[in-house]
Amino acid sequence: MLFKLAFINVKNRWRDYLVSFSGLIISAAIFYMFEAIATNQALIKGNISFGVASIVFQFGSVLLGIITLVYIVYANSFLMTMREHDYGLFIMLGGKKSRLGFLIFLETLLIGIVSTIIGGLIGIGLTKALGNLLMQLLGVQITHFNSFSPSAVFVTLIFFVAIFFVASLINQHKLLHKPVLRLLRNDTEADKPMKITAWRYVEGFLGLLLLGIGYWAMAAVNTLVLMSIPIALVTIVLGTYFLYNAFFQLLIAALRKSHLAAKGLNNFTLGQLNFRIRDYTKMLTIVSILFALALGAITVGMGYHRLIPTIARGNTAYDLVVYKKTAQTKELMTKLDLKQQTTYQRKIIGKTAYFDQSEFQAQPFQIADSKNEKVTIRQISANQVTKQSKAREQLFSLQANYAIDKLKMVSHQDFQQLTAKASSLTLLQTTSLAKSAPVLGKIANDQLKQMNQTAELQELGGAYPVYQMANLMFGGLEFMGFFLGIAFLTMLASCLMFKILSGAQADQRRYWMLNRLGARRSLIRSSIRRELGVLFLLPGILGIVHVLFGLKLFVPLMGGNPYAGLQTPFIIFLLLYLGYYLVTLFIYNKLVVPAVSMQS
Amino acid sequence: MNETTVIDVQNVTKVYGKQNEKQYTALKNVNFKVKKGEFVGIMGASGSGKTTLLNILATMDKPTEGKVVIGDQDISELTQNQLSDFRAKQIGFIFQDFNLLESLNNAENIGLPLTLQGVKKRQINELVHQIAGQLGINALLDKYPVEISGGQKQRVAAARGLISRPQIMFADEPTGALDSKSARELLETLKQVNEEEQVSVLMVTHDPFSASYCERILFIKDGQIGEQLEANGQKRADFYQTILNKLGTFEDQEGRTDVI
Repeated sequence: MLFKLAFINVKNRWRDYLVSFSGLIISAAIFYMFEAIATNQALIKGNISFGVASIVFQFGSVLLGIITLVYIVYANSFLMTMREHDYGLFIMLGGKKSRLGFLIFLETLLIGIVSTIIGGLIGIGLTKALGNLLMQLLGVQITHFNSFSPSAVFVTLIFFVAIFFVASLINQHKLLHKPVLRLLRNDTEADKPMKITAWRYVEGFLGLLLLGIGYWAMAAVNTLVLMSIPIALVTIVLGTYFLYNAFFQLLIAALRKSHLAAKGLNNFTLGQLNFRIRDYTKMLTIVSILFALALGAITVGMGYHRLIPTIARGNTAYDLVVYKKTAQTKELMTKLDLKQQTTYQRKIIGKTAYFDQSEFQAQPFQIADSKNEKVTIRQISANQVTKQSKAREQLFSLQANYAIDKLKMVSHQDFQQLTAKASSLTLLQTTSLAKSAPVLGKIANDQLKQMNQTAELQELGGAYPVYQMANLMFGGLEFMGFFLGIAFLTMLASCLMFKILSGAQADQRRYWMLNRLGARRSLIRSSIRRELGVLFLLPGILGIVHVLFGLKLFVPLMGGNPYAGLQTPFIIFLLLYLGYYLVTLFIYNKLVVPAVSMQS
Repeated sequence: MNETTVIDVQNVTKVYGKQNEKQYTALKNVNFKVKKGEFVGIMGASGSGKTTLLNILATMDKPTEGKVVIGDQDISELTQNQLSDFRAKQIGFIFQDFNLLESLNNAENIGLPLTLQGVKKRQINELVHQIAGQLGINALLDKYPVEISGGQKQRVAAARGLISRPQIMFADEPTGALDSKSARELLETLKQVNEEEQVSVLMVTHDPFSASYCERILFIKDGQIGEQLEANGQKRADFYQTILNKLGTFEDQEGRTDVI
């Protein structure tokens, strides 16, 4: 009977539960997505060549676990406030507290289990969809990638059921120790005005100081090595918290005294914000951190993606060398979008390779220069090819599969007189390495077949083999960066959205009041726009600052400049974030803006 | 006394529910006028249509038929924005549950209607202090609503209602949440402002004591204005007695009509 009652309760208030329910489902789905990668050892080992990766994933797991925990506790307390009145009524009608306690316990657990199961299923679907989408978009192949992972399902289930079990106990305890009258009246706790005490200033200062330490720790990654991550994590989380708890409140208090506040609804908006920020301190802290993690993950992922062509093309101007023009190779070459095709005759005597200078005059040899991640290609005059070290090196590397240790450039006549079998080097230069990669791969395979059995791709000359290797090495990192970035973004935005929407009920009264007092609807709307805007903006700005300093961590890994090309990931990310803001704004407006019209 | 009409309610009917649904008539052909400077009470049992009437007068709801003229303005002709401005300038409100915004301090709460109209900060400050002085709540201005008592809250709310010097003040059970001493003080204040400023007051109440402060009382029953009672210069204690007697017969009649 009790179980039935619990079930009916949830069913009847489905609409109310929907907001927080969807939040729980999303958090379960994202937790699963993360675990699907984190528990997949073969995937991590097979695709990421850094030993750091598993540490990063351990940190990530713990962090996501904490965030999920806080989120669920929040969502739960919200669910409870919706139920308080009903529980009060049960007690007033003579329900025994022990039975009620069991009812609460069952309800919470039921919600937990249902949302975990649905979330898990959505998580599997999302993992598959996002995984495929990213692989396609990024043009990387991830081996051992499985959207369904039994161990991830297991971890997710255990983790969520455990959390909900604890949450059920907390709920039970909380409700049973509240006076019945308070349950029935369901008062929202009075909003006490903030007192500006000396401690606030200390907190504000402490916040800035802690952030400073955190930023320094990330910049000093070379001296602190692995310690810089935990130091930064603790100081930045605390610093962000203090900043919200004190600094922004002081700022708002100052703004309220200014002339700006007297205009329109500004003072009301500031008052709302002041109240909100205190109420939201923890949530905003989490959102800022998540924002930084998500944006950071995407930026780093893209950074690696950006590195691939640089690494591949940095040491040679040519994409692939064809040593033997077989029929298959010839046919494949017609499919390529070639920018240039150069063929040089070569004769090998002993360990020296001879080239015909006239050919180099007709078709100058090109070399690649890379500076600050920018690759420039220039031509080398025929007589310089063997003299200039860079040109010599690059010409060498194009024939790494031959045992050669000397290059000689001879005149046309001399070349003709050399008694050795002539072979040819056909150097292919395509318009886009990434686009031509599939065809180049086939040509490379055909070329490898012409050599001995043990020949490997790396032995072929040109950018393609390097590109392929870099893709294998960084593609995994990049993929995971994007994957986690999007997962974190979804999580943070639903956290914020959920928190804001759950307060809509209380706000409805205030806006209704303003309407009565004669506030125009446009004024109310603009007030809401600003209020939500600030709530989205603050963690956004703080998140971006965190990322900018956090990228210092990747200086040793990414070599040099992780800051190049920041705009792309930032713009993508901010657009997605803006989308969330607009959706939240739309729903919130629907919920709280009163609509009465004399003209029907 | 000035005889200009402030509120003119003409044949107002309010029907809830769409035509193909089950309909419920909350107000039936209501007619009455309120003159400038008049203190009018509306009494009636719960469900009699008091709240519907007040909502329509306060431009928060729309009559199904008939029209409401406040000042010289037919309010059904106003657009959404004009309605907002109209509420901010011409109408003051007091509610049973105060409805102060707890995120603003009392001075800011009182000044809110002016802020909405874009009045300069210094001018608002001046007017807030002026009205606060009049209502004797100067000491409360820097405090927040949570820090003061119910009676004080209602005075702050009254100050907010009066700050824009409206033509009419709507009071919806203003003493409903107050103890008897606070209630008496608030009513005295309302009476005083009503007399000094010639602000018309329309008060909905079911408490005979509160009603005894009115000059005229309209009794509403099942959506219709049944009878009127006028003080005609009686002492308040006497008028209170008259109201009690009237209520007795009013209830009685109700019983009789039920039989028929």
